[in-house]
Amino acid sequence: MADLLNVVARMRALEQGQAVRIVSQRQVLIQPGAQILTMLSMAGEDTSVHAVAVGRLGVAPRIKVVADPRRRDDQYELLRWLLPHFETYYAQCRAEGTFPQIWVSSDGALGHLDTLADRLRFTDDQQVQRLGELWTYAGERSPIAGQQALISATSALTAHFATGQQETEDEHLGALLTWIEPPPGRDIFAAVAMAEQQPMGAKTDPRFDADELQPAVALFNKARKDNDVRAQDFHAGLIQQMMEGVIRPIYTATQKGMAILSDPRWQHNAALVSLGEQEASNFARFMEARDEGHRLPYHDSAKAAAFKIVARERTVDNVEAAFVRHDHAARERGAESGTVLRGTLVDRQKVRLAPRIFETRMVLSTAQDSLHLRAGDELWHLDDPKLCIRVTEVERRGPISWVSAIVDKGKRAALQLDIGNVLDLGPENPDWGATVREFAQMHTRLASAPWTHAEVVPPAMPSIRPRPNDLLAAVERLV
Amino acid sequence: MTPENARLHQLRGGLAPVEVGARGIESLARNADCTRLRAIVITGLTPSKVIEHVLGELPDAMSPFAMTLTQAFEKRLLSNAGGSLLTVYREKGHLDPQDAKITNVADLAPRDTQVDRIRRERETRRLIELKLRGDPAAPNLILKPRLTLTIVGVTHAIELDYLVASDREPFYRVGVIKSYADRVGKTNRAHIRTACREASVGTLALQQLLTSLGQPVELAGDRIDMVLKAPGSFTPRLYAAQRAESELASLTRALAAAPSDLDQIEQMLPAGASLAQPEVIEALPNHYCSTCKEHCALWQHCRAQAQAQGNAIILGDQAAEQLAAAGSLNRAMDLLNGSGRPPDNRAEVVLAAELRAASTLLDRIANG
Amino acid sequence: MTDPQTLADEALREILESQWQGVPAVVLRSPPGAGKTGVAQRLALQSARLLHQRCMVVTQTNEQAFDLARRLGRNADGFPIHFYARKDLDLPADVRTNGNIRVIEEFGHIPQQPGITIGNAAKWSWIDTGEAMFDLQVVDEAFQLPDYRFQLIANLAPRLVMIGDPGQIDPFVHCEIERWRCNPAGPQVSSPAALVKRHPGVMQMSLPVSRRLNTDTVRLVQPAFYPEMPFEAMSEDRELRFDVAGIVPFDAALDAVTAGAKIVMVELPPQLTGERDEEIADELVASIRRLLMRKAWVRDDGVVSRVSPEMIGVVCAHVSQVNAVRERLGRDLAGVFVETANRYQGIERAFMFVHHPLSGRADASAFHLDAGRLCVMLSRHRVACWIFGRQGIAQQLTRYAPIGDRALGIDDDPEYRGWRAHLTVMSWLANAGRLYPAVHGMIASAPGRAVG
Repeated sequence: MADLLNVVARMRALEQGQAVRIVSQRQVLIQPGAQILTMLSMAGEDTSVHAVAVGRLGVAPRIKVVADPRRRDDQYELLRWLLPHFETYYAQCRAEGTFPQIWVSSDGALGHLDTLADRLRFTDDQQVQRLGELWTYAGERSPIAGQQALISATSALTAHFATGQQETEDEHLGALLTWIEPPPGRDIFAAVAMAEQQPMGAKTDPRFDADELQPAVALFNKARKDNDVRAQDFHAGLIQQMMEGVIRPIYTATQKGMAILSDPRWQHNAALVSLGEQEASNFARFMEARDEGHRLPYHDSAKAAAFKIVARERTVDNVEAAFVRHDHAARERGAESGTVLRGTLVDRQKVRLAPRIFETRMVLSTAQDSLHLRAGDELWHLDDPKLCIRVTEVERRGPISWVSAIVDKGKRAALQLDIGNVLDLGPENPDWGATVREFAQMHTRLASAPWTHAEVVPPAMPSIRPRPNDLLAAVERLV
Repeated sequence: MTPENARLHQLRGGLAPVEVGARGIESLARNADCTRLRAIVITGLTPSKVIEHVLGELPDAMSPFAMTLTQAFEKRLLSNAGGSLLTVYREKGHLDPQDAKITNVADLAPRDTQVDRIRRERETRRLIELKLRGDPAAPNLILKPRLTLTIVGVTHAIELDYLVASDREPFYRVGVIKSYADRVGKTNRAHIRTACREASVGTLALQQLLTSLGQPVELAGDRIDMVLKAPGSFTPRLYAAQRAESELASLTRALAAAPSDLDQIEQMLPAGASLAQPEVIEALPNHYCSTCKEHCALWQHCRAQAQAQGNAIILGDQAAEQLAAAGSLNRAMDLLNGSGRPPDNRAEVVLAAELRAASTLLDRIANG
Repeated sequence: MTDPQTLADEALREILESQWQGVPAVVLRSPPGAGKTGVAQRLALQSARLLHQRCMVVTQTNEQAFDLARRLGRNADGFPIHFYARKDLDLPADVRTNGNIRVIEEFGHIPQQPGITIGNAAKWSWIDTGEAMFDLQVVDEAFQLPDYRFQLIANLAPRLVMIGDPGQIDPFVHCEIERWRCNPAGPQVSSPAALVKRHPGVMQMSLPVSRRLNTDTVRLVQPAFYPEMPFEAMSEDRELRFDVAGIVPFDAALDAVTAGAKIVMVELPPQLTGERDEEIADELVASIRRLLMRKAWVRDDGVVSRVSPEMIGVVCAHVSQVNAVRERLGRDLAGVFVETANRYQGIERAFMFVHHPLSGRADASAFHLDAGRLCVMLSRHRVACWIFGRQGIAQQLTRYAPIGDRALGIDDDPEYRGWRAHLTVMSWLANAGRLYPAVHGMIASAPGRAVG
């Protein structure tokens, strides 16, 4: 049914000719000084920056364009121009004990930034390398559940709205914004088709390249070859205008996306508080590691991969646990998908097992269709962190499931519940410290690298023990 | 003009044929249910050509910057008579020191004329036959080979980047050179898919050639080679002998699907009609899906048609699947809103109930 | 032709022998129901009793650990078996009260002398030392253990034997794995596959026989899911018969089993239904009732018994389908075990009823095409399996063949592999004449020919 929820939302959007809200609480933190970073690459040159616009919500962008980013010196000049901006911003975040946040227009733009970070941090130019390192924070955080460091406007908006088009079409920020705020009196499909004409990713339109940009760049290069400074300046100015014409709308659209999500209509989401704290803590560790000169490798050793995947897995669990507690939409979706047991308390008993030893038992009934519980499952009361139950039996009678459980923690709280109370039970409270503890344990376990994850296989070492003639029979006698 | 070519000419309504190549054929196979795409490609047109010459709109173009880079990357690899490509293979241990025989088919007949194209096809075939005979003179790298692939009785030329085989290998593998950035696990999956599928078209062409020569098709194998580009540089990254079993199976299956001959394509059109007429294109059954944008220039037209028809695919793959029991978006809306005729069967009853429950839930979620 | 028992014995001898040779690692691939846990048991006993080694056994879940502890706890000489468990673990009564099983909660209490210690992988990974404590590590159900979890316990012993079924559901990882997607030995890969990738020279073996599956089932399951791993059925002695004669065509699918067809498909009229299909649930449960109502007898490896609900299982892809069946079973059929494929791993029943994962769908997505899921569903039964689905699955597969989606440098395409397995299954069923129309709506008293 969770899938159908998304489908129905899109149907409603189509019916109304406007995107519909799918949540009531904000799903993403918007940092006060969050940076908007809009970059355009030259087609085919994935690690180029032809133009950049950088700024904040409510502030006009600072724009820099290079006439031809294929010239390394010019390209590096642009990147060096960007460095102080991010160095200052990161330093400020560090001093405030918070974290940097970068907004880009779309997942395509996010990928571009990530590609740049991966490439630039290995260059030989120290300043460009530093910029790559700083951006690597955002790039490496981006696949992590619940991260708040690098936000694509399209992803952030689609976490709040459903449109009446395909998910892949939501990747175009202009089309998405048109659905959210459609122009009055126009057919929505026509308005969206028009919006799609404007590039909103990290590349310029190929036809624009063919008809306008490439000829201008060619003329610039010719002027440079001819040492004609005036002509160079002229064509560079033309290119500047052209690129600004493309980049400004993307920057403005990204600002618009942020503004929509900053609107007070979105209720506070307590789940984001812990995510912000985690982000700050991650950022602090990242910067300390840079100060200490630790490298950021491109590939992971087996050991590093183990740490990273454990961190990611724990984060997924913690983010889900945080949202299911504090985010109304996540809680409801959880109840639909069966990850949250929404049961009515039909029985509660304190049973004496032995002198001074009691067990509190409860029975809940639910009509949930997607519940997938079994004996031994541990569930926590999502609204009372003290209460934890362990399922002993699940019985389905007709459309109703009867869940019997023993209260493991919070017996007193359990006994104060009234028959008929509806409880939401789900995963354990987020435990952000668990990753740290697990890492400490992993360090212990991985202090000596196993040969299985190293280069050399140890030689066979035959046993010197007397071998039975009939090995099979000898072993069967032991069974 | 052969009878077959005459029929194709008629179907194209006089439009000049386009060499659809591996790219065109693999895109056809991505959407095997799309008769429109199939008819266009088989008759020797491309969606871009239809956009431009039939619908009178500006076709998609490749950025000249991207084109320049792609050409430069390929040129660099194939420069020194292919020496750079050879080096890449040697460094990875896929060719031995003695595997140094390289032939560039394009050098023998470089012009884009019918005569030269035929010469390139013949030369490619000759070189392949050398290998089949076990002739030690058989090249290890054949650059710019030109093969043919017959689909539905129509022969299409397939010009590949290269074929590769060491002396100890019994036959060639197809190789593609792509200027896509190799970001390892983060490489754009659509790019990988495209490269594998284009190369697989070449493998199919090799298989057809083997069959025509009375040789087992298994010699062509199900592995292809791919050369990508390191991000931000021209450093090539070789992925040799990548398994392409699924791509080959997909292509084989799609190419065997209906319409299976020109007769069927002709029967789909009114008498005297051709694909040069916009209304004929519009009337051909299509199968718009979420991936059409990746490979077909007609995607916006097909999308508009799907929107007008109320096809659930306009809301995405998930919607198309979840609402399939209703048959159409309009019917799904009726079930959701409790309007229109009552549910026709148990599946619609269930769907209607689920849609309404989801709608109630959505209201609860979205409005706090 | 060598008989299956001899083949099985030879394979076991070879595995046991490898430990006398002191090979550093063995990857032992096992088809479903081959007796993996029995092999683990024998390896552990040989290690402790004959080789005088300290042997650790790793399981994936507590349930598997209990099962192994029970088996080892019954050993002939009363040799003590140690069970390494967390403090508050609720042990089953028979494990707790078995005098041969000693429960240990602290690693410092693990005996220094030759012995066997069982624990699950998670518990082993929290052991507070970086040093090797054992001579041999036996990992049961190894293909369910992702490499990053194995890495945390790999250095506890210099030699290891990894035993598992490569055809079942892959280990599940929730997070994004883009960093390691192109690494065939990445942290998310199953540990035996990663080990072989890093060290292709490690000894690899496979068990040649399934003790659970019958010959007819093997003829389908082996080519569909284990094309590179031939195996045979151990037993020919699996038979179903009814005291009450069947009514044609009403009982055709049930009676097909008595005639030797051990996997049969019941097809309902084609319809797009979405995940929950009420009519399939009706048909499936009606068939179970019919099986019991006709006073069925089963002979399973020489043991003859009346078919009871406890011998029957139902497996589905989705929880909603599981609930649809459970709702209809009633208290008299409470013994029928109904679960999703994920939770059926390691479990078997004499008779299985399967809700086909692709039934009623318009497309064929990666989840529903997953070969491991279908393999688990079709390999739980000892005697017979009835698959329920809507007509048109073969056509659906043809229409929705995957177009190819792989990671660079990785040969495997799980979606394609699953699609091919599904197609193999449907083709086999059709060619073997195993497709029967559903009889939903027909009543037992409808006029028809009695058989049997």
